[in-house]
Amino acid sequence: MTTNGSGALLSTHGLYKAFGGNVAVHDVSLDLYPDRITALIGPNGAGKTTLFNIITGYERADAGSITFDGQPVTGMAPWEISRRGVVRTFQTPVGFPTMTVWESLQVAGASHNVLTGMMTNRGRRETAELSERADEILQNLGLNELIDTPVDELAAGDRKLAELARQLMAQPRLLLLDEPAAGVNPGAISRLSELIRDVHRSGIALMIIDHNLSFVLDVADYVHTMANGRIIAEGTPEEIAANPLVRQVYMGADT
Amino acid sequence: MSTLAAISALSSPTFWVSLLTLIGIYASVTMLLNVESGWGGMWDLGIVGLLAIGSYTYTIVTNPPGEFEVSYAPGWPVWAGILAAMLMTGIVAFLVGLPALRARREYFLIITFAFAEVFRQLAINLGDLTHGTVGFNSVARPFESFFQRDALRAVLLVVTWGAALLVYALTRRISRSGYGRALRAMRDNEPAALSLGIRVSRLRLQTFVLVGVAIGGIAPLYMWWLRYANPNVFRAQFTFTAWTALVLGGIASRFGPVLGVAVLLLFTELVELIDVPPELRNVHVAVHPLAIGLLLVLVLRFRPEGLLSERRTFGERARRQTALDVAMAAVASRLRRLGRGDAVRAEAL
Repeated sequence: MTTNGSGALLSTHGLYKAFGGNVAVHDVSLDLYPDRITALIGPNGAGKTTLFNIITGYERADAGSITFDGQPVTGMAPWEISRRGVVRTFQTPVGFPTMTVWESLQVAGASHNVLTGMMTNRGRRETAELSERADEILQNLGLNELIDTPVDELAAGDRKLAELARQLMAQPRLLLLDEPAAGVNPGAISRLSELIRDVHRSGIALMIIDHNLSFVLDVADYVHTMANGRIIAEGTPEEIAANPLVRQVYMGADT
Repeated sequence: MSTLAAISALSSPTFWVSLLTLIGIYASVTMLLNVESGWGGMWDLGIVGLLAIGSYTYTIVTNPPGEFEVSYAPGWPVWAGILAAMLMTGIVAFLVGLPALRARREYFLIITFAFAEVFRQLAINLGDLTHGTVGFNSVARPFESFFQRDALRAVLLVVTWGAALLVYALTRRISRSGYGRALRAMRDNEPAALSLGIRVSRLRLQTFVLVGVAIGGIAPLYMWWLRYANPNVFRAQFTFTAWTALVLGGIASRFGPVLGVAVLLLFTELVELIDVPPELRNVHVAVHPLAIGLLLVLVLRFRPEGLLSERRTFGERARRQTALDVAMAAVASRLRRLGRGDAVRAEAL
C-alpha cells in the first residue's frame, strides 16, 4: 500500500479506533487522489462511517495520523477540518429542520461570529455573493422548485440533494459522502451518479460510502473495501467486482 | 377592590405609565432570552441571575456615599453605573458560561437556575456590599433634578422603550445575519453546523456573554422602575414570567417576545383588577394564577408555536427580504457568463 505518494490530497496512516473491546477501525492507511472518485464499500459494521468520523474530527483515533494537502490534521475539531476544506454529509440527512432549503444554504460561508457576522458591512456583500452561489448550486442539482420548502417537509431523496447542496456551499476541496444513494428511489440513482460526477468535474475531490454496490461500481473510479475494520481490497471497480474475497464478504453479510 | 377602585386604577396615568414601563423592561429581557434560548437553543433558566448582577452593580456603584452602611459606595454618576453594570454582567456571564455551556438542554437549564440562586444567596450574605436582606430602599435615577415625580416617570417610560427599540433592532439584525443563522443551525443540528465550519462552543459562549452584557444594560432601567433592591426581587419568578411570555408570544419568532410580554402582563393586571365581592376575595386571589395558566393553555391549544412563530419570521419572508440581492447577483452572474462564454457555463456548479 502506498502512503505519502505524490499527489495524494488526503492520506491516513495506521488509523486505529476501538470502542471498548470492539475494534471499529484497524490499521487503516489509504491515499485519496483528487483526480478520481474514491469509494469505500463494505458490509454493515465494517467501520466505514467510523473512518469518516475520524477523518472529519467527530471521533478521535486511538492511533494513527491523517494529513490533508500535506498538513497534519489529526485530532482537529470538526469545524477546523471543515474550514480547511474537508466537508462531509451525513447518513441521515436531518439538516436544519426549521429552515427552508434556501436559508439552510445561507448558513455556510457567512461570517458566524457575533461581531463580524453582525456588525460589519461585510455581511451584506456576502449575502449577494452567497445568493448567487446558492442559486447556481440549486439549479445544477435541480432543486430550484424547492427553494422555499422547509427542510423537514422534503421527500427523502430531495433531502439528500438539499444536504449535498448545503455542504457544497461550504466550498469543499474534498467532499465525503456518507451513503448518498440510501433512500433515493432506484429510478433516480443514475441521475444521482451524474450529479456526483458533475461535482467531481467541478474540481472537488470525492469519497463515497455506500451499500448499493451497483451504484458504487458505476460512479467510482477507485474502490476500497472494508470488512471488520480493515481494508481487505482496493482497486478499480472491475478489479473489485472480480475479487473473490470481496464477493465472499458481500454475499456472506449482505443480500 | 371595589368597582370604583378598579376604574380609578385603569383611568390613572400613573398606573399605565408604570405598567407600560414594566412591559418595556420585560420585553427587552425576553427578546434577549429569545436570542439565547429561542435561536441559540440554550435553555437559560437563570436569566434573573444576570439581571441581579447588573442591578446590584448599578445600585452599589451609584449609591451616594454614606447613605447606606456598606463598605463600598463610590457614588459614581448614572452613566458610569450603567457601563459598570454591563461590564460586570458580561464578565459574570463569561465565568458562568465557561462551565455551564459544556452542558446541554435540561442540564444547562439546571446549572443556570442554580447559578441564579447562588447569586441571590450571595446578595443575602455579602451584607457588607449589598446591605443583606434589607437591601437598598432608594436607587439613583437620571434626570432627577430636572423633572417632577410624575414627569420623571413618563421620561423614564420613554427611555425604557427607547432601550427596548434598541434591543429589537439588535435582534432584528441578528435574525438576518450570518451570526443568527449560525445560531439556529447549531440549535437544529450541531453535527451539521460543525461540518459547515461553525465553531459551536465559541459561538455559544459569545452569545451568552452578548446576552449578559445587554441584560446588564437593561438592569438599571429595572432599578429605576422599582426604586429599591433586595434579594427577594431576584427570585425565579422573574425568569418564569419571561419564559411564559416567550412561549406565549412564540419562541424563536422575532416580535413574539414583545407581544407575549404585552399580552401576559396586561392580562395579569386586568385579572387582578377584576371586581369581586369581599366574601369572594380569597377565591379571586387563588384563581388568579389559574387564569394565567388557562390563557397559556388556550393559546398553545390553538397556536402551538405561540402567537407568532419562527416559521412566519423566517421562511419565505426571509427569502423575499434578500430578493433584491438575488436579482442583483443574477444580473452580475449573467454579465460575467456573457464575458466567459458558454463553454464555462457547462462546467459551472
